[in-house]
Amino acid sequence: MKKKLLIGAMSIVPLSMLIYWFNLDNKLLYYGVRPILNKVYDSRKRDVRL
Amino acid sequence: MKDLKHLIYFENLLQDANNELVKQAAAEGKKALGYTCYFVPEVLLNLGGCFSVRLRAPGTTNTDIGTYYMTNKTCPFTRSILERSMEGGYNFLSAMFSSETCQMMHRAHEYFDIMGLVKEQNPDFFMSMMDVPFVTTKAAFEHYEGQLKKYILEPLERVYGVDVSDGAIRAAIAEHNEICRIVSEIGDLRKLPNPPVTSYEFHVIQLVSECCPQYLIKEKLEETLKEIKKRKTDPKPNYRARLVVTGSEVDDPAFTKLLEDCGAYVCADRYCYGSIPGREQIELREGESALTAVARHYLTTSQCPRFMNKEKQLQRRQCLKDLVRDYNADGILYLQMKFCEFWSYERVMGVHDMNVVENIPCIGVEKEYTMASAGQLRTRFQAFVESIEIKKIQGGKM
Amino acid sequence: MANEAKRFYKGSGIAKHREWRGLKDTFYDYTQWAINLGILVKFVTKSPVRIVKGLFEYRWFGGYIGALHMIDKCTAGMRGPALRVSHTQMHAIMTGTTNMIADSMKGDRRFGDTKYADKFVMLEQTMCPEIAAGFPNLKTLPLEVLQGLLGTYMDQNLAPFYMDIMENVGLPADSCRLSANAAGVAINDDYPEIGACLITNNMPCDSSTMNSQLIERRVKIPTTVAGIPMRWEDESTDKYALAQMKDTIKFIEDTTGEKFDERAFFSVIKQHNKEVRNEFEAWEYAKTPYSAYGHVICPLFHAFYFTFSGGTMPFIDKAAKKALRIAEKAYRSKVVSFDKTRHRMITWGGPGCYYVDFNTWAYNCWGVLVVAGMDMFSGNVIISEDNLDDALLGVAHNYERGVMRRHLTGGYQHLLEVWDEAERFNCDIVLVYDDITCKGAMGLSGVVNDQAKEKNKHLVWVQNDMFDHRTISRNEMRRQFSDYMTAVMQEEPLDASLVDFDDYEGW
Repeated sequence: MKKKLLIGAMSIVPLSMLIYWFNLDNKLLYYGVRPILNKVYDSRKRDVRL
Repeated sequence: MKDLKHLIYFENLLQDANNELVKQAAAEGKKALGYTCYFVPEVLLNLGGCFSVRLRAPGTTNTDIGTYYMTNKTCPFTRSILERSMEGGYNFLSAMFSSETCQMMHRAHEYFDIMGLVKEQNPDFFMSMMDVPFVTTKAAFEHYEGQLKKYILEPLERVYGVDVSDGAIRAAIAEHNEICRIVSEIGDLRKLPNPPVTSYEFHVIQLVSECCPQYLIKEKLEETLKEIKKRKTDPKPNYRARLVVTGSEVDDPAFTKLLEDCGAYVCADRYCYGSIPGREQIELREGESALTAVARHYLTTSQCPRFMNKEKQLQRRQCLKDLVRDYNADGILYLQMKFCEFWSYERVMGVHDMNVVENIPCIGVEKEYTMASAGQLRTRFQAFVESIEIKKIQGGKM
Repeated sequence: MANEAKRFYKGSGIAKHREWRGLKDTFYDYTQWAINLGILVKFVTKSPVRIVKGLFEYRWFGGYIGALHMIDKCTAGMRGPALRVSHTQMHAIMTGTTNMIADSMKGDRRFGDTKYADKFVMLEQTMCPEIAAGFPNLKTLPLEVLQGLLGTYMDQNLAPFYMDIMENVGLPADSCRLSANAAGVAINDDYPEIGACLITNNMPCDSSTMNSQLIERRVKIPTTVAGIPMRWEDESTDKYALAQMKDTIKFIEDTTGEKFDERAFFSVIKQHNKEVRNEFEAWEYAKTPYSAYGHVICPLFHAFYFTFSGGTMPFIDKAAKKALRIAEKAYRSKVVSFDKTRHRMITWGGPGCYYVDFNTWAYNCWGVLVVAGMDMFSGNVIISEDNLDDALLGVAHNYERGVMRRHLTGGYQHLLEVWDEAERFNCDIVLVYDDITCKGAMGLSGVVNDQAKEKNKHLVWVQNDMFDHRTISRNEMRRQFSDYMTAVMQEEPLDASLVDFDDYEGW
């Protein structure tokens, strides 16, 4: 168990470096999250009035 | 109806800012003091030895110079004023009074300073710019009064030796009130179902009272009042709908003429250069200085959307509702000078409030300074008048 | 010749991979990215449920997912001390912004009644928080800026939705986009329902005077107006300005039940003064060729602390001091952080907020280093630390000289200060942003042209539509600048791939 945790902790750095270098965070947000959010916003009913 | 005796004379006076009465007053040694905004009290520019001229740019065709300096994306009225001032059209002025009320107007006026306009003709010429409040608190009234003193009275006294004492202001108020009485009496006749004055004629009269030396025009205005009072009206009124017109600057009677041609009668002119506000008499209260009375009057009566406090916002709506009631109007026309930020928002909110909340037929229209887009406006006005007629036929239902 | 544009996907402008800045600087950039992720994680943990609810409730909130992308764009091409200064300042901006959004969500009555909501005094537009400094139990939150300006820096598609709402109700498209966006957010009922009261204001122009009136109609809390004089250099306006400040404080007392605490007030004012002095010190470095300050994050940092901190966020002073230490070290060692510089430029007027990294692009493409921008010179008032009336007047002065207001009101001479500032910062090019809805600036464009001719200065105009990239796109802004560089300056780009590329669909 301890070994697994240690491997897990140690793999965070190279994993995050990969995410960083290949810009996976922004790719996920732009191509994945953004379209979903836009669908949610478009489906919401708002109280539009002056 | 029979034509008014002085109408053509009045119309001619509006053909040029430097009209024959302005020339006559200047020749008599009086100082011509220019202004455009209601925040500059007309009455203070009519102190002894001076006369006020509310600046217009009649006959504007293009604004090439104004557009070079201010771009084509700014208020066409202020650009026209700038154009005319660069052309030397206001070289007769002894001073120019302004306030940082709206961005574009004050920019246009700043060019008097930047370019040294008029200075060549009159080395004593000066441009004076004051700060005016956005609210109507006690401090705001005091501030406004202080600014009037510092930026109108003091320079007039210093440069031209004008008597700015309390007595002199009281005398100016008395004269001012007399003009207001005459114009208001004519204006009040618009409340009648079959008015003896057309809205075009009234617009001309109101403009003449603002753009000419008042002491020279008063007699003819008085005479016109008497004539209108006795005037025989046509058997039936010559309009299909009565409108309150509100909004930014309108100084071309041809615009009112256009509305008349579309079947509308402008029974109340609540816009810049109009008589509401503008021709209310100034009340002098016991124990109050004349300048305090002037400051109170102008801040209280102003309907400028620039005022941000709730009381003034409500006052603007209430004023329109009162005008609709008092002048038996069928609808409201909100006008906005193109690129005017104040009136763009005010128009949006006002049209909504009047139509939806108050159930008063109302449209909002953007316009140029000149009548270049008259064709489009005509279509919209005709449609509005027709919609009001249909509403009347259907007993108030659209 | 570099081929930087190849690193991005066409249309979206998303990088295929992050920039290689050399081993040391790339590793440094990675660590700063990790810190930024940490800030975001910390943000979500402040109120996970409400923050997630807010993200799905408010369209403007969605724009903030572009934050990391924005930081990459703003630091593109940076190395050494410049990269370190920018990241240091950016962390402070991130911390402050996420704190404010978290507070907005934690106090949002829309997600259930909460007493936390009553702790806030809402400030409209770019009104600075010093006005509430005497209320230690209260906090301030901006209304408008979070939902417009800051979001637009991250996502150019944020504001058009709200501006279109305004055009649908009849507002002309030529009206100021910043104000139209804020009004559209109100009409769409997209402001968090938070605060004990709202202070509206006339900051900085006609349209903001008017949109305040519209916004007031949609908020459900008591409101008042802090209507401050326009002729701000004129001492005769001081009495009225002071009275407005006192009225506003009285309003806060009346609506929150709190009492003004002079000691707390002066403690914040002291912090405010520290922030301003830090800024003055940074300018001294920016004037030199060894400056670590440049591009866009420095002016953003200024606008941020002026608008949101005003002495209330202690980490601002810490970040500024840390940046100063880096800058000082670079200066002493004569490190040229911006070694591709061919020209030094000052930017003036209202920028296209949807192109926040325009300065960075100008450097990477043309070697034109932006060392100063108009907004840097706003605020910057040292306020009295012992006399209450003087201090309140100082707060009013700081407010009168706020972002955009400093140069667009109070007389034409203020906008024309550009020439003096260009000289002070050793700039040979002046860029004036022609924000096509900013009437106050456009009203003087002819004079600016005339003076450039008289002074024989390089003047380039770049048109933009402030919040609306659909009218004048980022590529169109690039084209205008590039045309000037080739036609007038007769120069070749440092990186030809950056002259014309497609990022229209991007954040």
